[in-house]
Amino acid sequence: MHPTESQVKAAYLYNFGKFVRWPVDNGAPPLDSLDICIIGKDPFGTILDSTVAGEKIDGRRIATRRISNIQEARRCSVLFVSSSEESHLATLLVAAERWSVLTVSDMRNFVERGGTIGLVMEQGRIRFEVNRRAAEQSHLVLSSELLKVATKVIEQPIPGS
Amino acid sequence: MTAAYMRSISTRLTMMNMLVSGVALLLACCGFFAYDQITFRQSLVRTLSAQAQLIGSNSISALLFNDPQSAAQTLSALKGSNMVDSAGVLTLERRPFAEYVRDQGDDLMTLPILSGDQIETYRFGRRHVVLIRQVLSEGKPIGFVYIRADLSEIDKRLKRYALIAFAVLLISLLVAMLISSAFRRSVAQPIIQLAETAQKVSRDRDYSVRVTDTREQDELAVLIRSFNEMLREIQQRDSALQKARDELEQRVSERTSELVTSNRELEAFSYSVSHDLRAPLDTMSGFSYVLMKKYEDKLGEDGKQSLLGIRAAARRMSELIDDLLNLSRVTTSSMRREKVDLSAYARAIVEELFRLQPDRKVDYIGPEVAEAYGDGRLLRIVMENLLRNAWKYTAQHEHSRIEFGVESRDGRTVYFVKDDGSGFDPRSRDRLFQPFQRLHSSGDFSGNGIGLATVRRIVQRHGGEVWAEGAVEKGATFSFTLGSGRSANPGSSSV
Repeated sequence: MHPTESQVKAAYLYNFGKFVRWPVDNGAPPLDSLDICIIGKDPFGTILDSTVAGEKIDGRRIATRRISNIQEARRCSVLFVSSSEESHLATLLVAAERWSVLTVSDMRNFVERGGTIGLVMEQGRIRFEVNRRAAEQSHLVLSSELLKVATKVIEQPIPGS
Repeated sequence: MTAAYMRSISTRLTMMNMLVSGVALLLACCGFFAYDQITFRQSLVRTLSAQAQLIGSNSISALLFNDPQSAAQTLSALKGSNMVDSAGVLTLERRPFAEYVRDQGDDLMTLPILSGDQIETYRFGRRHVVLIRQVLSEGKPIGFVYIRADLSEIDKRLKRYALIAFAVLLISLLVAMLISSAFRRSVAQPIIQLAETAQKVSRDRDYSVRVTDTREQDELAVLIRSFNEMLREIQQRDSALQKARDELEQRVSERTSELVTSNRELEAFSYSVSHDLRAPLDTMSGFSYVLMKKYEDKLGEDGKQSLLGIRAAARRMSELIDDLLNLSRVTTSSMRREKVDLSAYARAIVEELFRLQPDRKVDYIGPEVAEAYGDGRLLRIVMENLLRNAWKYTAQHEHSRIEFGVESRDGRTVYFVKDDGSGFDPRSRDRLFQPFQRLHSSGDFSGNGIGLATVRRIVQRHGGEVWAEGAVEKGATFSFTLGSGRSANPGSSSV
């Protein structure tokens, strides 16, 4: 039984957390949870919640949040940008960069447009692309292990920052 | 002979050396190899484990993000390890995810199953070892890594070790041979020399040889010195013995020739004396006979008695001379042994005695036959002397009894002459057989004391013995044996 596309994407969202190091000295005390936020229309439904249920990364439990306003993304670690938010993507990315939030989306050309990780479909399999420059600007350190399995790694600054 | 000794002893030394070093080396090799096998396997497992760990942690992202190519790339790093012939990454469901194959070989690989909370396990096959390890992400298994290594490396090592061990064995045996040839000089050589000398001594009875002393202070040197000391001792005793023997022989031959000379002189003397004495005695006897015949009536009773006394004395002297000549003949004449019947002799002698003195009342008892093996002439003299004695010493009894007999005593044949006459004092028994020793006064019994001496001489010449038993007025028994014939007194005829 092959997992569905949504199941794979949900697992990816969680697994990315294992290969990313967030800056420690951002003023706030260490968070006890790693929040995966979804902004815009949620394509996962309950799949994401069931995927991360009970899981931990570096001792931090995983939490999911649905947000509608970018201001709510401040305490997020991973932000899935739904295709519905494509229109005001630039504002979103700038905010995410400021708060060192890892941005992930399955919209087309997400990394070329300044996103950090873009999910793509390749030969029937779900893979991902990485924008290293965006990660650097967000003070995120991506593991070489992650880069190794990315289909494409580009250097594209976040526009407007 | 030398070569044979040399071979046996030095071969044994060499063999001993080679055996000891060979066995020691073999044991050492076996121990070393066993240890190496164990440690090699352990280190192989450790190496594989480390490699599996490395590949596992490098395959986490590939597994998580479904990128078999990346995992395959990671696996391809194993190209550097020529022991690994295949490896792979499996999904959690044990489906192949990525694979690396250098040399699949012909045997199918079955992966061991991890049981319980095992993270890693391995299994040794005949030619391969397989190690499988879980890949963990955040403490949870997300897949497996396996590595299969070729064990032919171990075989190669085994062969290499065998080769080295063989070479070392060969070299050490060679060295052992060289060493033993060096030892030959110090150990085998003295032994060989000792053996040769011992053989020479026992073969040639040559006690003058010596084994060359070694400068060592070991048991061998002690042995050699003791051996030499022993030889010297034997040599000394030998020469002393030889000297003593030579001296003895010299003395014996001197004495013998002296004895022969004096004995011959004595015999000649006694013979001539006896002979020369007889002539005047015959004259005396003849004249006294004439005197008696012609002038008997003129002599008167006194003169007649005196003349009879002279005649009796002359007769006695004649008998004495006869006996002396007899004794001398008994001693010197040669002896010829044959089967004789002593009983026949005894009867003839007793008949003769009866003929001379028919008025004597004597009962003679004797066996039908008494066989003996000896010189007939001499044994007749023995019987004559013994029976005459018995006859003589029973003369004072009116009725007497003389017995000749033969009996077996302690396996010896004993002949005896027994009478019931006047007997003798047992205390003087030893003097009986001495010449000219008389126990009785000549007044009682006539005789000259030569008879029993003659008897003893004859019996001794036959290798037998003679003895007497008796008591005063209780009769006497004279017994004698005759030797087997071989032990007859050998010196008598030549002396």
